[in-house]
Formats: sequence, C-alpha cells, structure tokens
Amino acid sequence: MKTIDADLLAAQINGYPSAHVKQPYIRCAFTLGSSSYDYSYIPGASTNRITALQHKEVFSDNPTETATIVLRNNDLLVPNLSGYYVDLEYGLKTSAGNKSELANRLWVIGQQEVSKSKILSGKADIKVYVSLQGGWDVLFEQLCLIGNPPFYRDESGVLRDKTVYQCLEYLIETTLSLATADTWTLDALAVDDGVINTLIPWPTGADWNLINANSLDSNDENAGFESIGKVIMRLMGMTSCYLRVLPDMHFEVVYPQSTDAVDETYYSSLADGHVFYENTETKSYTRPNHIIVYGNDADDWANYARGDAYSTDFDNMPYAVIGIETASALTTESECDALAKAYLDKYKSAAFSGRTVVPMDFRVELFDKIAVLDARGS
Amino acid sequence: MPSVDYAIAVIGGNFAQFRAYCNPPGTNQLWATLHDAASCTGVSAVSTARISAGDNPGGGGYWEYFTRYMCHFDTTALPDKPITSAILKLYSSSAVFDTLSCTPSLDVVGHTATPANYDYTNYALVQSTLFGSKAKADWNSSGWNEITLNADGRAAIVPGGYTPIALRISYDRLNSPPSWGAYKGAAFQFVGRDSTPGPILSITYTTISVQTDPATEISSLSARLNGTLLDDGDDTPVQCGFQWGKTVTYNNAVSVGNVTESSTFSVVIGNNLEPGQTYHFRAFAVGASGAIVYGADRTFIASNSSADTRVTSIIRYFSAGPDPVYQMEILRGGVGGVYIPPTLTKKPYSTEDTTAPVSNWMNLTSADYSKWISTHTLKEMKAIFGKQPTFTEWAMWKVGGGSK
Repeated sequence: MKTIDADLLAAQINGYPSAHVKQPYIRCAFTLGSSSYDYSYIPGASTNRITALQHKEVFSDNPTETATIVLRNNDLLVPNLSGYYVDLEYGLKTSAGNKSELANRLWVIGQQEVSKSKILSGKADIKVYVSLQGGWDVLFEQLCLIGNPPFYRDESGVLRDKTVYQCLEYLIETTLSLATADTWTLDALAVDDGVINTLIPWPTGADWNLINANSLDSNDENAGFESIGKVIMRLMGMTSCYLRVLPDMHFEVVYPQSTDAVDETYYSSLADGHVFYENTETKSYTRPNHIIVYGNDADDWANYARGDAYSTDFDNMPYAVIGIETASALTTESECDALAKAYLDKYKSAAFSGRTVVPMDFRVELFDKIAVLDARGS
Repeated sequence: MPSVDYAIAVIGGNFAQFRAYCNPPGTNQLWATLHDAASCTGVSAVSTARISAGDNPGGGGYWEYFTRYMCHFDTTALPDKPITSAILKLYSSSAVFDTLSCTPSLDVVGHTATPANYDYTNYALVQSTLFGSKAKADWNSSGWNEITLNADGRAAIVPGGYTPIALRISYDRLNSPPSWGAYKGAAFQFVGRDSTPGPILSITYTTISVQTDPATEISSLSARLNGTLLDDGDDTPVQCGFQWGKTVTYNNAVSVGNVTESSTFSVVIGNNLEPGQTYHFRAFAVGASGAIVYGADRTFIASNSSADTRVTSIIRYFSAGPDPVYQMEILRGGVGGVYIPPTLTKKPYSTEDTTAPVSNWMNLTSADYSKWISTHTLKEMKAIFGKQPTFTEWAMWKVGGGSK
C-alpha cells in the first residue's frame, strides 16, 4: 500500500470542497526527448483534452500493463504520439491545490484517430485513441539475448552461480537496459522467502542450455528465443515472491504472506469506511494440491532428493492432484521442501479470486492485501 | 448452588514481619528499603496478624515496620466446577487504627509460596494483582469482615489443592509511600492463626456445564456457532449464547435464549466477518441465580480470498462523459491459472465536449437522485445507508466521498 500525500488522502476521504464533490486531476504529459505535450486533466479548466482513460495493470502468467487514453482533437492539434512515454499521475483537487500519485511509466505504441459527427448538434466529434504499454510488456518484447551469437546458451556464464535475485538483477539492470538503451533498476532485496536469495538456478556444472534451450531445434515445438519476461517469470516461479513494477522504471520484489496485515478494507456501507460498489468472490480448490520436487540428478537420479508440500485444503479434495517439478541443483530434502512450498504458494494464490469495484483509491498497488466487508443481504 | 466454607490449612497461616531500625535514631528509612526488602527479621507464627505501616510509637528511637500476611486455604475437597462467588472472611478482635491519616485499605492478593515451604524472608513472594479489598472505614473492629473476591481472585482458587491468599496494606501493594510522621501508624488487625475464629474462604460454585462445539457453515462473511448445555445445575432457566471476537477478549456476545439440559444450541454470526481472519468464540450459560459458566475457547477462520490472495490487477477508469466515472476495478488472486478476466464497468468512451469549464466534475442533480431512489427498494437503500438517504448522503456515496 502506498503512503500518499496527506492532502490527497484527505480529499479522497472527505471530498473537496465538500463531501459529495470530487474533482479528478490527472497529470498526463507525453514526452519524447525534448518534445513534450501536456494533456493533463485539470479540474475546472476549459482546455482539457482527456475525455476518457482506462489503465490496466494485470499480473497473471503473462503480466501486462496497458492503457488507452482518449483525447479530444476537434482542433486537430494532437500530433502523432507514437514512441512518446507518459508518467501518469492520478489525483484530485485538494485544499492544497491539485495533488496526485505517480503511476508506472507507459509508452505509446499506437494511436487511432476517429472522426464523426454528433447527430443532434451536427458538431464534429474528433478524438484520438492513444494505446500505451508498460514495463512488463517491454520485458516480454525484449528477447533474452545473453552469451554469444546465436545466443542459444549462456556460455559466458553471466548467470552462473547467481541466486534467483542476482539473476533478476542481471537480466533487468544489464540485459534489459542494454536492449532498450535505457536505465532499468531492480530495487535492493528487502524480503526473503528462503529461496529467492538462496537458490542458484544455474550452478557450476549445470546444463547451460537452459537459457533458450530449444531455440535452434527445429523439431521442437517450443523452439524460439525466450523473452526476458519469460525467463524472469520462470525464475519467479521458483520462489514465493512476485515482481512488481514501480514508477521511474524500477522493479521491486515483494513477498506476500498470509500473516501480513490487511492493507485496505472496503465496505458495502459508506458509514463504515471506503465504500465498494460491487464485489465478487470465487473460491476453488488448490490444484495441484500436492507438489513434489525431485533434486540431485547426479548419478542419473540414482540418489535423488525429494521434497513435498500439501495444500491446506488437501483433505477436502476427493482425490490428490500431484504436480512434479525437478531441480537438479538441489541436493537435500529441506531444499526440495522449500521449493515445493514455493510452487504450492503460487497455486494457492490461484485458488481464490475476486473482483471489487471501488471509487478511486490512490493507495492501492499490486499484491496489496485487501478485505471486503459486505453487510448486504440478511 | 453449593456453597462451602474452607479454613486455612494447618500447614499454612503465618505471620511475617519486617522491621527496619533507624540508625541514627530519628532518621526514617526510605520507602524503597521497606517495600523492596528481600529479608526480614522477627519472623514468628502468632495467633493474630497485623498488617501495618508506620512509625512505631515505642521508645528507643524511630523504627518502621511492614507486615504482609500469607496463608493457604485447604481447598482439596473443592470440586473443579465454575466458581460463581468467593468471600474471604477475617475476624477482628481489636480496633483498626490510622494515626497516619492515610486511609488505607486491606488488599487481598495472591502469593507464590508453597504450603510446604514458606520463605518468610522473601516478600517478593507476595503479589500485587488485586483480588479484593476492605476500606478502613468499613472495617469491623469487633467481628467478621468480608471481602468479596473478584474474577482474578476466583481464578486463583485451586480446586483439589491449596489456595494461596495473601494480604497487604494498599500503600504497600501500590508501592506508594504515605506521608510519614513520627509516632504514627496505620494497621488492620485480625485473627491470623492458632486461635479461632481464623480466616475463612467461603466459596460458591455451580454445576452448570456448557460445551463449545466446533463452528459450522463457515463462509467468508459468516459462521454458525454451536454449543451444548450439558448440565443445568438445577439453576433453571438457563440462558445460553456465545461470545466471539478476533481475540480471547471476544468483544461480541449473542444470546440464543433459554436452553434445556442436554440440548444443543447455535446461532449464525457475521455478515461482516473479515475473510481469512481467525475468530475466537466460546459458549456461555447463565443460570437463574446469575451464575455464569463458559465453555472452552474455540476458533474458526472465515474462509475465502483475502488470507492468501493479493491484488493481481488494477484497472483505473476515468470518463468525463455524461455519466462521469473516476473509479477502479480491483481483481484479486487467480495468479497462475484461475484468472477472472477483467470485466469493464465503464468503457473508455465519451462524447463529452470538455472545452467547457467543469467546476464541479460530478454535477449531480436532484433529478439524478430521484431517478436512483425510484429504482431502488428500501431494503437496498438500507443495505448501503441504513435508511433512505438524503440527497447529500446519496451524492457522497455516488462520488465515493466520505469514505474513511
């Protein structure tokens, strides 16, 4: 949960200038080099161009962040914005002026110009629909080209003997920064799940073809180079942690735990707190509910190590659903247990889902823990 | 309900006294020296006890003394049943005095000495948690003095064993020195041991027995609490219910009415539980006499998402159109497979010409309000507002204002 400006929080809670008035302020300046177009939505201004905006941050198997911004263009002054970036800021008019909270950087990947006439007034209705994408999409666009041409293995060992976190650090700060000619940063590790800064995915002696392993095999249906995002997701899958994009082209590792305090609570009644308009809760069993990790492939698995993790609702399922992973570099049962738990954590988080619609809350960010208290019904 | 008197055990009951002689005469001891003394002199078992603090009016110079009293009551015959009341009775045969004018009270506390081994030299054995007290003004200098024990005092009673009880003057228990004065003192006197009538602990207990059963029908927002009245203790009618909350302090109580012996009872709580939160609960039963009995503590976890799931998607919407929107859609969970695709509540379309100044972005009107009122039932309104909202209340909700 973000800690936001006190005046902004006050306006979010109390409204401004009265409780039943909120006046959005959205800072939106498109920038490319020294060129910049400020299309911010200013409360009360007569020149606002933004008529609508939708901004999605979605974390799934393939995380993405996209936005569509609709700009009024009846004066035909909106240029081609492709290639520009924008650091959106969402806020409100407050007692201390317009205050806002910075969002992640987005890049314009295209725009549509739509012209039509209003039926009743006969006025021209000309708008520009600007499409944008964020950091995760850049990660998935950029191929993981490490080592030497034709880049199908890490023969120089840049990821050798690095922990998961150190691999992330190299892929983001070096590989991605080189590929985009920009500066990306992975923030210092502030959490530890017992895996992310311990597990070494590619230790000395391991199979180096794990990076882009099948890229040159025309007989393999999985042939093709991996993107940096895909390798990162593979690495994160070995841990109980998640990667979060931050403003200013930063990334941050977060480690959600069930013991964490609730960050935000939404209520069906305005009298109780921050209201929600709509809420959906879905629950399903954790599947797989039993994860097995086999480690130590020395001697062709003759002396393998095994780790197990069971979901808490394992006994409620009519049958076991087993998931098996291998981690050749792990040699002890405890190491395999830790990795099995990490995999299970990811499956557990998939067993629940929900959807909540609330008035704009500037504090929320991905991986926050929220609670919804619904007093509707009898 | 059974009520039984218990006398102090023969092996208990003692008199311990601390004396601090001043040297040179005329210099009072520091309060801390008296209060925190780890050893004492003049220990003896006597027939009466004196709980006092002050200057001794005797000759030979000043000296201060402090007395704390420890004993054990023989409660080996007491059954392990809920105790509804306990009264400590002390017989006084001489006057209480307070020439210090400090208006002390006689405080009942616990102690940690064992019946077989009193360490009279260690005053740290005497504890400070108050079980009950008797003010000087209420002290009967010739007859019985009764002190009703509170919940802590009742909890200190040991069914089937020996119950430790100690006494000390209020200034000593609170470690708060009175204003000293030469040849002044304050004291309570009572028969402590070896004479009759000695101290008596009068205990009343109930045989009402209630059992807390596991919770059922647990959802994200509610749960059914279950219990059984095992024994009505011949104290009918017995009213049963539950206490519940996030901790063992509970903070919530709900009654289900009168219950007959050997019957189960239950109630659904919630509609406002927090998903993933652990809740404690216990059954209670109240007899016609007022005796209250509790079942054991149990817990349940309100099911559903928030315990382990996180925000996995945030979709921000803004529209300056005729139906303005500034809200967000939050998706939780679904990482790695079971993912709910976002459903747009408001598509980013607008035909609003924003060249005109917009001072109040959401310019809600009474017509909007009337339309909303006409399309919602009173029950729906109560779910949100607890009543039919005024225009201002409705407008606040509409823009999300007033959200804490």
